[in-house]
Amino acid sequence: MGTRVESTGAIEYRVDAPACAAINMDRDRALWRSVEEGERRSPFLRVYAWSPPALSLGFHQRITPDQRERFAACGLDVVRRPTGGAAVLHDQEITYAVAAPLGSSVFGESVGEIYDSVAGALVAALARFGVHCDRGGGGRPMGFACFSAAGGHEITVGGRKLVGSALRRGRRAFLQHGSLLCGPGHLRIADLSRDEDPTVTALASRTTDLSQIGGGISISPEDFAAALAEALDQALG
Amino acid sequence: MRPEDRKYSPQHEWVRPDGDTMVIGITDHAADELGDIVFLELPEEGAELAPGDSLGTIETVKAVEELYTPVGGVVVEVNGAVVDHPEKVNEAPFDHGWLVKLRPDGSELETLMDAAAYDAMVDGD
Repeated sequence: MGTRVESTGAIEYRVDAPACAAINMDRDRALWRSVEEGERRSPFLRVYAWSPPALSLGFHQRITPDQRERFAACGLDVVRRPTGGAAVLHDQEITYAVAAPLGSSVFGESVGEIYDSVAGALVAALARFGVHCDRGGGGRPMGFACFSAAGGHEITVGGRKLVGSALRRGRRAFLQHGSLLCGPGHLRIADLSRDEDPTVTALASRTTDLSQIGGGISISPEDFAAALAEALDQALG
Repeated sequence: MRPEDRKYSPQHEWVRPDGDTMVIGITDHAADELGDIVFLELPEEGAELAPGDSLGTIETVKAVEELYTPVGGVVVEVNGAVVDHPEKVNEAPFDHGWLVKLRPDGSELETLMDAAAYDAMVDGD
């Protein structure tokens, strides 16, 4: 892939150049399998962007042919994630993927423990850039769009969702995906799916992004990756 | 005490003999830990599975989990009711929330836990 693997000691991480949806999901599946099959024993963080912008569906999520055509007509790749949850339109955002063995002292084993540990690291990492977040929106994400509601372990600012996340748990390893909203590009999902899910029209009032926080905050993928890896490393103690 | 008419795996599946078949499901502990189940993907009838093979995937509000069969055999029946209404697994994991029936290919049940041992594993810590 041509990008260098960095390490904090306990966490290895890499920032990849923007890639198309199929390549991004192939890389994450390969990353998860490498931990699942024991080839990789340390937690690994991959940070990346999508080019062209893309719609990722949750592992079991359905999409109608009309919807698929609508997204494709706007130049958006459509891809299925190995993780659960609902759809995310990846545009003006930073995506991360964390894969790690189950049962480690920091990540734990249960779904709640994994979400808690990564959320704690996200809050610590974002605070370094002056983004002061809360954990848990109390919502129940059930609509078409992931960002329509903030679940119990997700990252919010002023009650509005800033980071969406989803999880796949295997026999020996987990993969967690997350999207940090940097701009309003993701909101196009509302226009493109309102016929199937009217609740997406509330997306703008339920989310925020880095450009709306303070006077607008800019974080590079490289700086975000380093901060999140360090926060995960510190949690590992 | 959980039902004593079946055996339990460390991965929180149960296996209950039923005539010449084995009924497989997940335990109340697994269902509680997973939370609200929103989607189930189970194997086709006729699928031949070895112990430890994937039995499909189960999705909750925020996570996709792998399911594994603790015994090998041929899938002879899939519980279509839970595929259509996955919440039934949360409602009654030991009863109408069962997942599949297998015609077993061996005696792997002997390697599984009885109810008392499973109770001790999940409730004893």
